[in-house]
Amino acid sequence: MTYEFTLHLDRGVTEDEADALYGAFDDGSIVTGPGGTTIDFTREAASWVTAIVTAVNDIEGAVPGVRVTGVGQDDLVSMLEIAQRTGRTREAVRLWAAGQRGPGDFPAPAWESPGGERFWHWRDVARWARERMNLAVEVVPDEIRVADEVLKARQAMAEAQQILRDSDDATRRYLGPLLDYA
Amino acid sequence: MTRWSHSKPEVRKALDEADADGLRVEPTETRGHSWGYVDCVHPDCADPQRRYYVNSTPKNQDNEASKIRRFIRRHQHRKEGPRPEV
Repeated sequence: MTYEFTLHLDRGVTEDEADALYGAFDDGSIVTGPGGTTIDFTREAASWVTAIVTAVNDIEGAVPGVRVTGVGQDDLVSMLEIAQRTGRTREAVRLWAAGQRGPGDFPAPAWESPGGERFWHWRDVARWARERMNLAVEVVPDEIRVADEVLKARQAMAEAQQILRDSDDATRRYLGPLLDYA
Repeated sequence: MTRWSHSKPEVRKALDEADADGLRVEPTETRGHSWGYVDCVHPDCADPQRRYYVNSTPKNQDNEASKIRRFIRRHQHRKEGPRPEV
């Protein structure tokens, strides 16, 4: 299966780091700046969890010190991405959009690129697919929400450990055991 | 037709669109895996993420082209004002 998701990183990446990242994977695209980095993946994998975990490992293995802090999905989707998210072929989606297959009333595109590629809001398409096609598609799949919660919790844990390292001995001795919860 | 050295035709087309739309396309030929980048240099850009790194050898060129176009859309400041949502 093909899984498509966006990972959020805790900082921007330099040109050398971008080069190292693209050396580690060829199925993600990096958007970056001082506010952080997002990497859009379209990954072949056996399951959602393997797709996300291998991508996190690729990133954190390629650039020491960078951390993945969350995962989500972009709302603006191409025809190919609609095909991936609904588990249909791109041709099937093209026919839906053209009104030549399915119940009609496919949502209008949100934007057309200067070269003519169309994009849709996923929330519109997901509603249409659910209500008109009876497909079991979610606006945000449960697997992504769970993985996002775990990544955020992992980040909070790392920050708590850093705070304890920076604290005095007594604070560390009393509060430290709270982090040993398992 | 295009002046970009990228090996994938769909990516070259998307880079043309980015360039024509006022984004700065910058090949950094010395590098191996990263082909270069596309920057938003619009003075009204309030988006902290203004750079798209282009993969030299994307697994799927249609996907890479779509993602470049999504970056173009995200930086339509001239037409629609800053787009704060991600």
